[in-house]
Amino acid sequence: MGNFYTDVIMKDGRFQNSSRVADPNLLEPVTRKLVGAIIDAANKRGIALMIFETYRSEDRQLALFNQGATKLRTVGVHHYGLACDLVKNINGEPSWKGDFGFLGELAHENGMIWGGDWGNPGVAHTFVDSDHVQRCTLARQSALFAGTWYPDDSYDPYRDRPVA
Amino acid sequence: MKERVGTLSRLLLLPLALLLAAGCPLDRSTYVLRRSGQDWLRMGSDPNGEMILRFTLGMQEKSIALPQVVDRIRIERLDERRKPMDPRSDEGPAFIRIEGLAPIAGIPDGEWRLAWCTRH
Repeated sequence: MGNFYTDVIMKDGRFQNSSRVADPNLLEPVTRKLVGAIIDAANKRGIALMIFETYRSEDRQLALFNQGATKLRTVGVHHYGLACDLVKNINGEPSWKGDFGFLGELAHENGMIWGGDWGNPGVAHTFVDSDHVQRCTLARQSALFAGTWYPDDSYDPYRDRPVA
Repeated sequence: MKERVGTLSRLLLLPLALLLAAGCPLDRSTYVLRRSGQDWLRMGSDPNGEMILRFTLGMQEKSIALPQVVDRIRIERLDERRKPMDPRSDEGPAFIRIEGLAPIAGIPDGEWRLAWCTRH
């Protein structure tokens, strides 16, 4: 049985696109809906957000690896349509200025894992990605990359108890 | 007098930086912005593998994922002779030069010098 990755992403013309992709249509539908809800909620707080990156191809991942921008050579969660980077929208331009702690609250409220705490606010992380959200726990990533797991519509990362 | 103290401290700090640069892993290296002497940078990967630039500017902390900005900025890792290093290296460079983060993230341009190595 297929999933959004095999049925849509792999067949999309941008599957091997080496450029950054910010199209929400390459987000898995539940993830897309939740990202939309986060953007709306931020807007209500007076913070305009823009989607900066959704899908990331293997070619782009390798290019970023060669630039020393990522430790993952082949794919990450972005490749599967389950992750999104949201930055501030200042007059139509992306901005990383200021605090992004609000995104953690909104991500949690909408059932997404925030890169600022990786779903575990009690654990201190030295390096965080404060404008990244994903619909997949860190524990599930190896199964996702191996092609043995993909979330269904009811999947909630905060209720996920993966079998060891 | 102030200038002499500054020169002296730079002369003392340079050998220290060179000593520190010998084999300090990148994620245990802390850099200081040479221009201010009071802003700090650490660099390492998050649990998702993305390289993160973690700045401490005065009392403010700011983390930026390198994949998001790498196409918009200039970032160079340099050895103690200021020769470019492999950006994929896990070894902490002696210097990191960053330009272009000011307009998009409010991070000052400049050269960051290895200040210390955290050993575990």
